[in-house]
Amino acid sequence: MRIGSNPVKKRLQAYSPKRIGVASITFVPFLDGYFKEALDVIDVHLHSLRQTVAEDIDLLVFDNGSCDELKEFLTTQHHSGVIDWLFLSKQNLGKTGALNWIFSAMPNEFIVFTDSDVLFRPGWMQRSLEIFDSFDQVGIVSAQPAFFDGIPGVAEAAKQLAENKAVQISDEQPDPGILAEYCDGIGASDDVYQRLLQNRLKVATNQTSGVGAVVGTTHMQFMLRRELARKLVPLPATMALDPADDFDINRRMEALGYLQLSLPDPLVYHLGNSLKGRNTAEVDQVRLKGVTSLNITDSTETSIRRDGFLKTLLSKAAARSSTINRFIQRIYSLLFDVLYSDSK
Amino acid sequence: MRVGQNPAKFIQEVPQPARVTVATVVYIPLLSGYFEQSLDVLKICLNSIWDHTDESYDLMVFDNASCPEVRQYLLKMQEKGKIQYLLLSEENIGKAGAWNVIFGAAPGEVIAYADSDVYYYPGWLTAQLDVLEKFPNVGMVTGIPMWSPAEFSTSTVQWAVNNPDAEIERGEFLTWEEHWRHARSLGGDEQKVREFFADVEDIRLTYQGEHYYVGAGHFQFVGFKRAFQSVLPIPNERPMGQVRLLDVAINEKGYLRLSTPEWWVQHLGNRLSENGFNARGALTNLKGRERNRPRILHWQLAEDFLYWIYHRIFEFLHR
Repeated sequence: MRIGSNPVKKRLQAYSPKRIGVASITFVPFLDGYFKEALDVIDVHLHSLRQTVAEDIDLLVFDNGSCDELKEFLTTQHHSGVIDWLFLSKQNLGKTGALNWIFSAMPNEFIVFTDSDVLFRPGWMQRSLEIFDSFDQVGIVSAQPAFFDGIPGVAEAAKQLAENKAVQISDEQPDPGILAEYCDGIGASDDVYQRLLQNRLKVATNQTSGVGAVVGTTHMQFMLRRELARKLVPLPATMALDPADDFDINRRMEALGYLQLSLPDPLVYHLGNSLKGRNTAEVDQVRLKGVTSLNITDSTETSIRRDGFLKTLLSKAAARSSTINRFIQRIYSLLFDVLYSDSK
Repeated sequence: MRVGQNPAKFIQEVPQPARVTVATVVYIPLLSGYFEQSLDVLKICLNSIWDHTDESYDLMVFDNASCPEVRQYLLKMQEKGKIQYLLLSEENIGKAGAWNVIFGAAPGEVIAYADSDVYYYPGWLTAQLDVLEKFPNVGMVTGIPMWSPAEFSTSTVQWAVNNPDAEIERGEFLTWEEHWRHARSLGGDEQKVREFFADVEDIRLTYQGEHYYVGAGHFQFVGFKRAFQSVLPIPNERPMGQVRLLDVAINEKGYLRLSTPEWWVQHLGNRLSENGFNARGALTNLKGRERNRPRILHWQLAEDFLYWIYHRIFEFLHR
């Protein structure tokens, strides 16, 4: 039976979601071969994300049936506050299966999806939001230029943009350095690099604000509004990782008449499965900054302002000393027994 | 940089979700006071799901910022494969907030939700699915015979009035023992519950030769995901206390709200020892509570002061 009333009732203010929620999907079945450096890659991924957000976010990590070592790592990150919501699935539901979950459940106004091997660079969030403000009917924005052609909906988006007199469309050659970095990240061959270098990127520029965007998007990282995310599901989820399933996002967006855009600058970078390569200095920088720059817990000053000096002092004492914490819990327990003794 | 090909690309099939997602929300911030026995209650709740569910299902547990002991237990059960989906939240996002997540994302076509202090009897899911499938447009089916406020089930009554095969009766159909069994588990005062019981009338629906009670509870219910998704998001300004809004929204959308004439589940509350309930499902004690009030609580001011301290300490521990 129930004795006493649940102390949560009408007492505590419920959580309200942050404006932006970021969801990262992990799948590391073992720490060997292709996945040998996976823990390090995900560590850098999470830290670079936390270090570069312009405002407080809700971070969801969706673990798609990984090995125990990764789950333990994620649980520790969750415990230390790096991850806000940790979803552990016993089995791999597939990338689109996880996306179905993310798109249906994330309560935030903007949802950011990212693979768990993406490095975030400063400014990615502000610049992505800027695109939403600068063009009409924006559906999805990636923080890296989309180099691949043939993505469903891109030609239509360019056409749609060209009809707007406030927007100028230009054909531009990809920056060889940015493209080389991109190809390195995805492990693309030199042939692919040469082919992509010949492509022309369609760049849309808002003539009033001067904000530019590449027409097209990537599947490894993107931002979209919650309302649109809800309209995209359910996506077919047949395989663990099938690019063909990913393209359904583009097709549905095209059918709904939304634009798919990306930033002209590479403010996210695909790390791949190894931290070696051209960006080691940048990775080291992320690691050097470490957790001290994450700004995920209240500072003492904020706590004092919110709770008062005495409560903050007590909180810190209780956090440091399990004896004090146990003592406070004991008083709480005694009071409960006294106050609800007639219910027993 | 990427070296080699991601082996995940070669996994040809991913498991498809079960038709039913059994879901629960857990919030046990500490293991003392009100929550002293909550972990034991949770274990009984989950064990009864594992032992007594007779249909294929996936279990989804939403942990709304519980203490480390509870999380450890849940992680262990997930590791053992007993929990298919475990969501750990860093902060309490409220019961309605957790519902918004569960109803939005549960992979099953049917959602069987219950608070984490509920005991399930053998055959509960089949019995509740039968009701769900027997009626058109059912929103919620609760697995106990129960009274609930008529204003939250007007669509159910309306449907029955318009349906020649259905009959609506008003009167005293629930026995005192049935009424008290649930009210007692909620911590009700026997005298007040008796007065209430004498005042209210039950609404019984008869359809295809079977009786059901009009109305459902939000501590446990089974329904189609599409019905829940049609009323999202449920407002969520407080951790608890706004769950009635689900009943209101489901009724307003025209969905039926029903409860079964048999006991398929039992609300346990936060204490087992005083519950008169043993884990095999037998109720051993339905007596009223004995009054044993400490002398200090005879002074209202002292009682108010102690409550004030009690709540401040909880807020402190919660943070």
